[in-house]
Order: sequence, then C-alpha cells, then structure tokens
Amino acid sequence: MDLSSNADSGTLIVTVNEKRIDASVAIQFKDRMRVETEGQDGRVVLNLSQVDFIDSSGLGAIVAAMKQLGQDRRLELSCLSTNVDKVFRLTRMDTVFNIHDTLADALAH
Amino acid sequence: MTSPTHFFEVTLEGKPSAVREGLAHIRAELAALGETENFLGRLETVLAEVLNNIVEHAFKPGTNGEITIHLRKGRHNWHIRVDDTGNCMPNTAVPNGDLPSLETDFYNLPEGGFGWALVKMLANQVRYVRHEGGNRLEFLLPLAWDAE
Repeated sequence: MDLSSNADSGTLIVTVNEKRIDASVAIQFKDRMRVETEGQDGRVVLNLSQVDFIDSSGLGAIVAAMKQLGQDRRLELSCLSTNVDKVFRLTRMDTVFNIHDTLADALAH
Repeated sequence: MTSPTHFFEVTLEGKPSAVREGLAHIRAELAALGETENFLGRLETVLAEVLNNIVEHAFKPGTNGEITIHLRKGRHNWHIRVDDTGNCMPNTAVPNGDLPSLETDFYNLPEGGFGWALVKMLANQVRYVRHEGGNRLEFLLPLAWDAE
C-alpha cells in the first residue's frame, strides 16, 4: 500500500498512490495512514485522485483512519473518481466527510 | 434485429488476491463487449462485495474454496450467478441490506455493514439458495441505471 504525504501551509496532504482501496489492502491502508499522520498536527486531506475503485472494506478503512486521527483532527477527502464518489454517495458517507473536488479547493478551505 | 447473446464463466480460488484478478478479468471481458464505464463500475462494486463476502464468511480460514461466476447478457440486464463451495449463509438467507445508521457519535460511526446494502441498491432480483452443498447467488445487473 503506497501512500505519500507532504505538508502545505499547515495541511498534511496524504496521497494514495494506488488504483484500489479494497479488502486485500484495507488493513494495510489503515496502518499506513497512522504512520503518515503520526507526530504531526493540523488537518489531513486524503488525495484519492489515483484511486479508481473502492469497496466496502476500503470505505470502512477510511472511516477507521478518520477515527484514528480523532475528532479534533478531522480527515477530509479530495479528488474522488466517479466510481469512488458513487460509493460514498450510495452509503451516505458523503455526509460524514468533507469532500473537495480538487486539492486546490481543499487547500483554499 | 436480435442482439447477440454473450455468455462466459470464470472460476477462481476463494482468496482476496484471486478476487482482485477475477474482477479485473471480468471487467476487461465486458469492456471488450462495449459495456459502459458506468455499467462496469456498478458491476465491479456488486461483484466485489459478493466475492469478498464469500471469501471472508463462507470459507473457513485455511481451507481452499472455489467460486464460479457465470455471466449471461440479456436484453436489459446481465444475469449473474455466483456459486461457491463454502458454508451456508446465516439463516440461509441474504441479509436485509439496510444501510448502517450514521446517526451516531463520531467514534461509533460504522466501519462495515455497507456490502449487502450496496449489492441491493445496484442489483435487482437478488436470490440465494443452498445448491449441491454450496451456495448459489443470482442477481440481475441492469444495463441502464435510472438513479443517476
């Protein structure tokens, strides 16, 4: 599970360098998110621009990663592909996360 | 004019990496038949949930299960049948497919329970039977989807 991160004016952007967040990598995703985000503070934006498929296990792992960060440091999402966006909308999870169309939008907030 | 009938079958081992490969294979086959990205996205979501569910729940850890997926194209739907050699579904029935509630505090937000809800939202006529000592799940996936 390849994640990378960089800080931009107080926001940590974590980029998923994978095409899928599915059952076979869900646990790794949650663990890698902890590694990328620990020892820092400020908001976290997950850049999903390379991800074209997510299943319910992947969705659950993103929720778990959000809880891991805690309530004072909410996880926000950006750059959802059509299929990923559909899964968030169908499960109503789009009402739980702050979702930005682009990274520029995410950084402007 | 009659549309051509397409039929094919894929058999895979009941493990997550095989599910990934199987999904990629089926997606490529149906893309080659000219199905839309919208359809392929719905197909992959439904099949991923069904297959992951079998791998996680029907097969005992350490056992080698087998899953066979039959796909047949009709006029308005792909008719899909998934057979596996695993244990029975609880109550010999498909779960009701309600979405987990989001009306809860932050730390109780659901991390699972979305799978059957997604299947039932995207597929029609979902039927499950115990068949020859294994499980058989059948459903229709409409070529056109009104909900978007």
